[in-house]
Amino acid sequence: MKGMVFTEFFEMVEGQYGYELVDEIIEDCELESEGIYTAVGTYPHAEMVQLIVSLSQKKNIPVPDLLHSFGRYLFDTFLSKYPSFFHAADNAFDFFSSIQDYIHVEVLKLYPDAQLPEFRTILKDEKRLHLVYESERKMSTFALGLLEKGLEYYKEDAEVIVENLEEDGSKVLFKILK
Amino acid sequence: MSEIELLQKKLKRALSARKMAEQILEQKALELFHANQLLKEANDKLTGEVADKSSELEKKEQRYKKFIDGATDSIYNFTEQLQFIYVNKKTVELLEYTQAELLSMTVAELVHPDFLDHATFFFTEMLQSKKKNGYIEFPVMTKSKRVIWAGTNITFVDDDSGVYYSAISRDISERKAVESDLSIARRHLERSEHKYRGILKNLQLGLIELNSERRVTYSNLIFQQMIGYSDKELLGVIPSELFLHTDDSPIESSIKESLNSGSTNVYDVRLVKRDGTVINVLISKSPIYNIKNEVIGSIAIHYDITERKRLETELLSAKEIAEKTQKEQQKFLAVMTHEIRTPMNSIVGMSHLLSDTSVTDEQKEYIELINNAADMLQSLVSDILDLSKIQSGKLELVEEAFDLVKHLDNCVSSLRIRSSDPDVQLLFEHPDFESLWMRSDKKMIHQIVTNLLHNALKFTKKGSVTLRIDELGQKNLIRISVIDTGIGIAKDKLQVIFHEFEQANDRIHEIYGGTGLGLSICQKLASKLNTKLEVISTLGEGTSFFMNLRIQLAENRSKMKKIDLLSEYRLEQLSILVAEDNPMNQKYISRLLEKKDITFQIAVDGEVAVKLAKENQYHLIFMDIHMPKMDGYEATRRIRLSGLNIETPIIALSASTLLSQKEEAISSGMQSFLSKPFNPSQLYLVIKEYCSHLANEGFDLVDEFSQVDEVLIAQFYGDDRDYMMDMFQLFVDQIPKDIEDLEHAFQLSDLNQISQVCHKIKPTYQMVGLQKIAAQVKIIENRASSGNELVFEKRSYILDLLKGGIVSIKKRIIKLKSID
Repeated sequence: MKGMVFTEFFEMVEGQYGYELVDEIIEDCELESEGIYTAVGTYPHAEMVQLIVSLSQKKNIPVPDLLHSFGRYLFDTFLSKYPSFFHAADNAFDFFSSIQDYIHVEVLKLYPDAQLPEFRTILKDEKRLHLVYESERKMSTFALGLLEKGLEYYKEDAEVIVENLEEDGSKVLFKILK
Repeated sequence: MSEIELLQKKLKRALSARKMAEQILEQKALELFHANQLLKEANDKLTGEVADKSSELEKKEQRYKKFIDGATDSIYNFTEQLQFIYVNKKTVELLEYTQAELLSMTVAELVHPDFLDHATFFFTEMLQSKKKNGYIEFPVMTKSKRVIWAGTNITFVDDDSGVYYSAISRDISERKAVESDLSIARRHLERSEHKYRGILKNLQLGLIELNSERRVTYSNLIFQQMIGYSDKELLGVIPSELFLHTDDSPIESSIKESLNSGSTNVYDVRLVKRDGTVINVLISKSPIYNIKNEVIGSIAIHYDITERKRLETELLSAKEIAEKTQKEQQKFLAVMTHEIRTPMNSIVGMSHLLSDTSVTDEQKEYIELINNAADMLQSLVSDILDLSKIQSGKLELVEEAFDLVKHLDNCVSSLRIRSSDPDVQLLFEHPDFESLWMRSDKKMIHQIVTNLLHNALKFTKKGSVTLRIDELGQKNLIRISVIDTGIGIAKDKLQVIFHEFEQANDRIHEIYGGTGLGLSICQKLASKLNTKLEVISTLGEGTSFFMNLRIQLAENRSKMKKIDLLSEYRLEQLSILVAEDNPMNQKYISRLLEKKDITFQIAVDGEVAVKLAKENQYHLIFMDIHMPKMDGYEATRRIRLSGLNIETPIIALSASTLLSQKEEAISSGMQSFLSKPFNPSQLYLVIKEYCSHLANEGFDLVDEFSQVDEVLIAQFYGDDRDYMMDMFQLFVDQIPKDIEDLEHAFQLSDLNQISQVCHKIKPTYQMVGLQKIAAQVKIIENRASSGNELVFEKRSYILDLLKGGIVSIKKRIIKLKSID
């Protein structure tokens, strides 16, 4: 997993709860990396899972809710770091439907070892966009946070309905209706 | 934990992270450097390659330019507006304009005005259809107004070099000239094909063309009508799969073979029409060749012969029936005539025997009348038989010497006795002849005359019927006429009366009866005698029938001393077997043989004959053909195998005169054929003919022919007996060789050779006074040279005569010597 996700995660936790909590969950998890991450590095995904689970326990917030908040937080980071992706699209639907075939392709060019979820567009018209999220990491609420922020960014008034296609959350359908 | 401690911890982590990041970045920078290095190298290499390719391209372009300028084809480029933008040297040469001039012109300005529309249409079409390539032929005008036909390949170019047409033109003026000749030739061909198709159409011949797979590629209307399938249904069909009759499909392979070998053939096959009916057609198939002379298909012309085939079949079966009927009729006639002739034989024979007994003149006359009547009856039987023989072409001309006057007198006499009408006089006039000895077929003349006289008497109620013989000025040409004063015949019926079963009119039959056969037989017999029966008539006044005969005069035998044919033989030494089942015939033959003191035995049937022949050696065997238990043919075959009588002459006795019976007799091993009824001298002649060779074994053979003409040799030799002796000896020494030659010629059936040998032999016999034998030899010679095959039947007769002559001369020599 990209180091930037870790650093952004720590920044979000520090901003919300102070560095003390950041230190607590690092100490708590007994990580191999000892909680030392740099944005340009790459680290095991399991460490991120450990950190989030630890935070969830400490603050008594469910993991999906945490991921959702993290998704919303990370959107702003993406926007400030990679604005060209967002300028390439005029509206949210075009942007969302370009994730799989454009943004993820560009990401893979920069980070060939990145492990990205499937994000397929299966229906798109004026009013509707159906996206299927598929990932073994089961982080669909993280994706939902990103989508919500995306709609806000493009100032779209739309509703997102989430349907689990697999019970374990590894495959999820997002129905976005204007 | 204190705030400071926490910050220290955070800082420591941040430092570690920075170091880690620096390390990562350092590594990335290094990787970048290496990558850059590689890129630089690749770039250098590419630059070098580009330079190489560029110079190579330049060389190529030079070469192309050279090639294009040196090209024998005109090469030029022009814009979509047909404006020239490039022309090669050849183009300049060809069109006679300068390069500058051409580059200011359009293609359209050069195209011959008559073809401008054609060319413009082509370019527009090419542009609109976005075709890349095209070919067009049109004539162009040079600066000097010369017309050149150009064949042009045009490519539409749209690439870095621009959008334009690139053209390669070739001068095809010569080819165009040839093509124009060709098109004239083709028009001729088309016209001729049209003409022949027209002919085929009018001839009602079905025509199809087949390709090499034997599938139909074309069929004409007549064929479609003939077979009942439409043009479309026939197309692509293999004949054997659709309309060739399955029984005839094997013919396909033979057709294929002969077509491959290039031969044309005609086949008679059956085709099945669409409606299932079968038609017969004659197909004439011939191969079609391509330019390379390979067979690429065939053309088949069909001629419907169904109707003809049907008629043929009907005719054939009708012919078979007719032939069968005719055969049965002949068989019936042969049997019937045999049945009638057997008792006739006895009547004739017995009356002959009767005349040999001491009878009064009156009795003699009656006997003569019996004979004549019997002859008449025989003639009637013969009439029927003759018609059948004439019809089957089996009538044999039998020539013999006879006195025509006396013979016809007999005819008239016997008729006179029968017709007792006092109002009609039957006359016989022969002003030019007292007697007329001639050689001809006595029976035929008799038959004709009797028939004509019968007719004349039938149709004459008052006046006369006259038989006349006249000499017609020319030598040996006589006319026999029958003239009556009867009802006459209408002019338009004069030819009809000679047709079979036709009379002058239907009433004739009602009043006079008759079959309408008589005159038809007469006419046919007359033609056998090489003449024609003619008629002159006036209705109500009378009719004359006549025929002109070229006759062969014969010696007047009546003047000859009548000799008893066998009187000079010592016949008691002969032993003869007679196989005959009819008691009357047995008696007749017995009496004749007894009269000559000949020893004989009678066999009552074939089996007895074979038994006797096994036990006794005979000099001669008479064999009746129709006998109970075993017929004459079978008996003969067995005798020929038995041992004792292998070479004994066997003479068939039969009432039949059919040639086929004679042939069967000869093939079963018999030597000759004696037709019943026969008279005594005929029987004696046969005995003499077949037993004369026994003369050397003690028979004293001197007959009328072997008598030396004393007057003649006296003229030749006078008193010079030595000379005579020398000549006679020479004759005896030389002539056997000549006879051998003659025998050989007979064996070869060589008429020419027979004639030549006879010609050589004749004077030799004359020199020794055997005038009569010489005369017979002359007859044989004449007949042989005229191609008369009847000569072959005279073989043993003439050979025996010649040998008899030698015996006679030998005896003469002995006599002469004894005088010495």
